[in-house]
Amino acid sequence: MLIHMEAITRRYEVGEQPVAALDKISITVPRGQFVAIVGPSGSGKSTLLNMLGCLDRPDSGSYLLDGVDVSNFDDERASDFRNRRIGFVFQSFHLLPRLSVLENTLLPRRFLRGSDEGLEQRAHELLERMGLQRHLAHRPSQLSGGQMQRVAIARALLMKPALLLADEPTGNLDSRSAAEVMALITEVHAEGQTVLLVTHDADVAARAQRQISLCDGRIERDSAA
Amino acid sequence: MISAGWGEAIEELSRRKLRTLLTLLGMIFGVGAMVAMQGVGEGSRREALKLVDSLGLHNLIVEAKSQSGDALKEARARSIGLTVADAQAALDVVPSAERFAAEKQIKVLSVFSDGGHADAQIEGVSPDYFQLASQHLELGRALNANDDASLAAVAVLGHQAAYELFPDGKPLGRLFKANQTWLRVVGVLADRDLDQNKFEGVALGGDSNTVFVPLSSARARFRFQPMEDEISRFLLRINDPSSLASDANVLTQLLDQRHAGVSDYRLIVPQQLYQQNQKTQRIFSVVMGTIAGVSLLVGGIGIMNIMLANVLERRREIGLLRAIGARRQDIVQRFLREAVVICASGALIGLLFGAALAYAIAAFAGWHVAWAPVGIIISVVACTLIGLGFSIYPSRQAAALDPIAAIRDE
Repeated sequence: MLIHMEAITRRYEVGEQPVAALDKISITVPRGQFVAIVGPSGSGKSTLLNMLGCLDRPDSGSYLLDGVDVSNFDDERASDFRNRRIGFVFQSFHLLPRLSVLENTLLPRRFLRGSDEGLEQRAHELLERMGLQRHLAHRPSQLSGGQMQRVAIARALLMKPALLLADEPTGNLDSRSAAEVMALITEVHAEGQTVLLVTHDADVAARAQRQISLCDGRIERDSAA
Repeated sequence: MISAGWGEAIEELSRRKLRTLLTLLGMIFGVGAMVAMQGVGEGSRREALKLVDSLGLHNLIVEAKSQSGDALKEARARSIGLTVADAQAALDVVPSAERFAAEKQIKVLSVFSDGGHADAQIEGVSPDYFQLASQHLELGRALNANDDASLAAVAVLGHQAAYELFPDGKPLGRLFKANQTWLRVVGVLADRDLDQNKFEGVALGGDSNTVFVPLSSARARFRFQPMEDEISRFLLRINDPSSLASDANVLTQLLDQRHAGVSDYRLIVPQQLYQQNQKTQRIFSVVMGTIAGVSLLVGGIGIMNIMLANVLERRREIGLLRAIGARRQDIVQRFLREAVVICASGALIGLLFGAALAYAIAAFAGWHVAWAPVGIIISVVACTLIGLGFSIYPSRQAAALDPIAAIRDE
C-alpha cells in the first residue's frame, strides 16, 4: 500500500465550537492507483489534500505514506518529504512569473537537501515530453493555459514523487486543454505513477480507476469498497 | 537558495519600487534623526568643553564684582576688595592649590601705533597667567617674572589686537601707545577661535582683542580710580581635579573671612559650569532622542505594515513554495532577507541623510557638528535591529499560512 490512512481526524476551532473537518477517515491506496476525490465544497477535500500532501498534521489517527509514518513529522522532515516524495499540481498552475519555464520546472531543486545530480537533464526530458522543448526560456505569461499546466506537471514530476496530488487540475482550462492535460495525467498514471486527483467535475472523476466521495468530513462512498 | 536568495530579495523589492521607497523612507528618517541628533549633540559637547577649557577646567576663578557709588563705599568700609594678597592666601590655604595668576583690567583711553589703532582691552597679568588660561603664543615670548620685577614697558598682544595695530603682520619689537604709555611688543597670542565670548553667563578671559602687560607694570604705569580693587580677578590652579568642589568651599570660607563677610567677589568653578552645561545638554539629548526614537518607531511600523501587505499579496507564491518543499524557516528567511536589505540600505542612506541634516542644522543655528564613531555605530545597528524586529511578525505570518488555502485563494 502506498497510502495507509487510519482514522484520521482534524478539527478546527470555528468560534467556540470545534468543527471536525475530517472525521475518522480511513483510506488505503495501493501503489499505481488513480484515485479521484470528489465532494461539495466544505466536505473536507482541502483538509484531506493538506493531510495527504504532508502540509498539515492530524489531531489523531495515523498516516503511512510509502511505508513511512508521516503523521508526526515536524515541519523540517515534512518539508523534506514533500520535496522529494510528493508532486503537486494546482488549479491555477502557480508558476512564478519572473522565472523561465525551465527555472519553474527546476523550482523544487531549491529546497532539496542533497545531490541535485541529473535533475537538469530530467527537467529537459520532462519538458520535451510535454512538448515544451521550444519554450524553455519563455516566461509563463508567454504560454497558454494548457502549456502552463504542463509546465506545472513537469515540475511536479521532477523529483520522481511517490504520489502525484492534483487539485482541480483542469478547473481553469478550456475543454481542449483540459482534455490534453487529462490525457497527460492518464499517461503518467499508465507508466505506474500513483495519482490522487481532487475535483468536483464528474467527467474528470470518471477518468480515475476509483472515486471516493466526501461529505461533512466523512467518506460517503468509495467505488472500491 | 542561500546565495540566490539575496539577489531574489533585491529583485523582489525592486519590482515594487514605490512601496520599497516608502518603506525605505521610514528607515531613512529614523536613522537620519538619530544620527543628526548625535552629531549635533556631540558637536555642542565638544564646543562646551573647548569653551570651558579656555577658562581652565582645573581652575578656580575669583572675580571682583563691579560696584559703584554708595554700595562701593559701604563695601570698602569693611573690605579693601580683591587683592594679590587674597590670591597668595588662597595658594597657601587651599589644599590642592598649585599656582595662581592675577589679572587687572585697565581702563582704556586709547591704543594706537604708527600703523593703526585698536579698540582693545588692556590687562595686567602675572607671569603664570598665559599658562593657567591655556593661552598659546603664536610669535615671540610670554611675559615673565623679569618683566614683572623690572616693571618693563612690554606687552603681549591678542591675535586681533596685533592685527589691528600692525596690519603689516610684523608686530614683534615694535612700539605702540596705550593710554599715556609706550609699550614694546614681545609676543602675540595664537587665535583660539572661540565662537562665543561667554559660557553659561561667565565671560571667557583672554579675548583676542586684548593687550597684556605685566601686572606690576600695569600698577606702576597706569592710573586707577580710588577704591578700585587691586586686581579684577585671579585664577587658582588646582592640581587634583577631584577636590575642586571641596577646594572651592575652602576658598569661599577663606575669602569670606578676609573680606569680612562682604560679598564683593564671585567664585567661578569652570568644572561646575561644564557640568551644568552638560545637564542642559542631556535634557536636550533626551528630548531629541525621544523624537528620533518615535520616528524610528514609525519607520518600523511602516516596515511591518508594508511587509504584511507583501505577505498578503504573495500568499499564493508562499503556498506553492511550501507545497514543493519549503520549510517554514525558508519562508521566514525569504521575507527577513528582504527586511535586511531594506533595513541595511535604509540605515546606510539614513546615515548620510543624518550627517547632511546635522550639518544643515548646524549651519542654520550656528552650532557645531562632531562625530563619535561608537555612538553612531551603536545607533545605526540599533535602528537596523528595530527594523528587523518589526519584520519578524510579518515573516512568521507568512510561514504560518495554510498552504492549500493560500494556493486556492483567487
